[in-house]
Amino acid sequence: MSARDRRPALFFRLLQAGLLMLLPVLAFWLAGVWYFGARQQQANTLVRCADRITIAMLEARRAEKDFLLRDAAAAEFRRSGISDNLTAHQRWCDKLLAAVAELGAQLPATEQGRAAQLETSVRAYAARFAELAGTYRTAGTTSTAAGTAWLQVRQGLAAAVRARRQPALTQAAEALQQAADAWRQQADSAAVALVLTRLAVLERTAADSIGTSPLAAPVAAWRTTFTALQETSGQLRDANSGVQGAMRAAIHDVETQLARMDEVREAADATGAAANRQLLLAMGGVLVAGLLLGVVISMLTARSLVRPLAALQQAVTALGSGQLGARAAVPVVREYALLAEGMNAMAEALAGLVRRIQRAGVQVTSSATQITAAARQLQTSVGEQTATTAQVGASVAEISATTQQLAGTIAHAAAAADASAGIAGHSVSDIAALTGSMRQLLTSTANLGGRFSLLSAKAQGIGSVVTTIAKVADQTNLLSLNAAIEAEKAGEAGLGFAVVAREIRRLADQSAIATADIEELIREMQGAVVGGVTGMDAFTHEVRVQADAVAAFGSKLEELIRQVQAVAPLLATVTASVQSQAAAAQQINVAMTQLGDTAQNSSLAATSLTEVATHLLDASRELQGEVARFRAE
Amino acid sequence: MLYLRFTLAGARFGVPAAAVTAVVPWVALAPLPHAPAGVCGVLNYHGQSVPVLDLQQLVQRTPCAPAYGTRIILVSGVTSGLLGLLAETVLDTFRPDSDFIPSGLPQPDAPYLDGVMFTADGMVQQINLAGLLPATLQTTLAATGA
Repeated sequence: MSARDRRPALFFRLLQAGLLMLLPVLAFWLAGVWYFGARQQQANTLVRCADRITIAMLEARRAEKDFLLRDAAAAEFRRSGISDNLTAHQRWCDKLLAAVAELGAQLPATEQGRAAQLETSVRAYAARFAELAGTYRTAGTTSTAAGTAWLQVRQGLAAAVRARRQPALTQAAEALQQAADAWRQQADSAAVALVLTRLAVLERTAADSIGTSPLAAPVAAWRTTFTALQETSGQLRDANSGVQGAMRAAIHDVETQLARMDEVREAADATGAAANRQLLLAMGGVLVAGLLLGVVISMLTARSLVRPLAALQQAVTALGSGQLGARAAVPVVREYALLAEGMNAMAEALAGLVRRIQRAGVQVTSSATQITAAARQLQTSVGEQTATTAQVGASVAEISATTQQLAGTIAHAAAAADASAGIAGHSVSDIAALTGSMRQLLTSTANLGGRFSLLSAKAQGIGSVVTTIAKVADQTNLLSLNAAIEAEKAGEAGLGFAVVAREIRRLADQSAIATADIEELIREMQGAVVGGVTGMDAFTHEVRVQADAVAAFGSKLEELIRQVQAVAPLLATVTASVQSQAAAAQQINVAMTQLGDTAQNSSLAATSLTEVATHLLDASRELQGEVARFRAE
Repeated sequence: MLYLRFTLAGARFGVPAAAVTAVVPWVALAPLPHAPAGVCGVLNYHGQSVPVLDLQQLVQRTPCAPAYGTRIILVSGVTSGLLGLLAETVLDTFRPDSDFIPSGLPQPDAPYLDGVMFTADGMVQQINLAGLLPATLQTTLAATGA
């Protein structure tokens, strides 16, 4: 049968044992409580009565002292005889008596006499006190009367002294007053002596100063009154002291009785304590017996409880050490059977769980490893991304810088183009002037060429003339030669002729030399002319060429100006595009910064991911390690 | 004795003036085909046909340069009539103190060069008119000319 169907014997057995153990203890406890409670109550009552007595006594004594200090000498009391302290004293004495009566009721029979004695003493004390109060009253009354009479006497004396108007007298009278006041305060023998002395002084002074007759009567009256007063007060004092003595005796008696009461109480307490001790011993003994019984029962019960548990404990230990296949045998007792069945189910579930955890642990470890690797890859790729971003950012910065430079350069170029256009404009006008002057030069050169050709023609003319002269010289030479030859043939007759011929030959030679020189000169001149003409031709050609070149240059310059003028809008376009490029570069820079931030965040995320993955890996390894302890079947 | 001085191949030569009939300018000569070497034409001198010999051609195998001084020397006694000798710088006569002396170097190919004379201006060589023409040329000239 299943565990649920078995008897819940364990429960009943425990209940049984508990009750068996508890009941005697409970009984003894109750009895003890009742007994001790009663005893305690009694003792408390006694203590309360004693306290009440003590308090009442103290209050009565206090009222008595208050009365003696204040009311006894008070004129009010002396007159009326009523005093609050008196009434308070009476009340407290009544309370005291009531407390004594209560105490007497509490005490055992043997001690009743004591209570009666105490009562008697208290009453005696009260009576003595009343008596004392009465004496004070009568003293007060008499002293009032006496005091009034004395006052009159004193006043009479004072008036008499005043009437005399003598300083010494007045002084003595004041001294006497002072002594009298001092006696009123403290009526002892010294004060009395002082008063009498001062009175004698006053008498003497009066006798010395004014004679005896005027002050004799007041002084005598003063003396007699004072003496009577002194006697009266002495009598009263005696009576008072007598009564006070009686009262003190009564008080002493009361206190003695009270002390005896305390003794009695202590004795009662002692006997009571002895009885209590005996009872305690008895109770203790019974309690011990009960405990022993309880121990025996509990041991038996425990054994019957523990034995089935051992098997369960073994199974549980085995389970805890890792043998998930361990199962407990199901005992007979219902509670343990339930526990065993539950434990078996738990072991089963645990085994299944551990198997699943092992499988999951393996998966988690592999996943964690993969995540770690992926995280590392992510980190490296993010690092690369950051590097790339930094590179791009650097490139963009370069682009920005270059663009700035370009803008500056373009501005320079625009300025230069404008300057060039201006200069070219100047140059065009200069070139026009130059072309004009070159054309002038050409015409001049043409003129010069014409003059050169004229010169050449002239030189040729000279040359022809010179040629004629040379021919003549040649003929002359020939003629002289022939003449010389003929003269030689003629012999001596031809000597003169030979001389003439020689002279002619000389002339001809000179002519020939001159013509040769002239020819040379003419040749040179013609050479120079030719050279000049050639040079002039060359110069003209050159000038023409240069003029053409200048014209071409001028046209080119105009074209250049046009080009340069066309450049300015282009430059403006370029500037605009450069500026837009700069703006674009700036945007790229911003985007790069953002990208860099994103990369930074990604890097941080990757780092944290790596950390988390590492933790996960460690945790999964730990889990696997833990799970490996269990040997699931 | 008066000599006529002329230049051939840069060197000075001289002939006796007694042998010279006249000096004529170098006029245009009638050419003579199949003429021997050195004969450069025929000159018409006052109706006479005179063969002209280029001396420079004979001496240096180069013709005379056309210049004012290049004249034809008409000599007699070599052929039956006159003989024209074309030479350069025929401009002057001179009357030396000494006579031609043998050069000391016989030249069988040029028998007309056989005398030198030292003057103040330098050395002058002689043209021996007798040895000027070889026999064949002489006969040819005699046959054709005079």
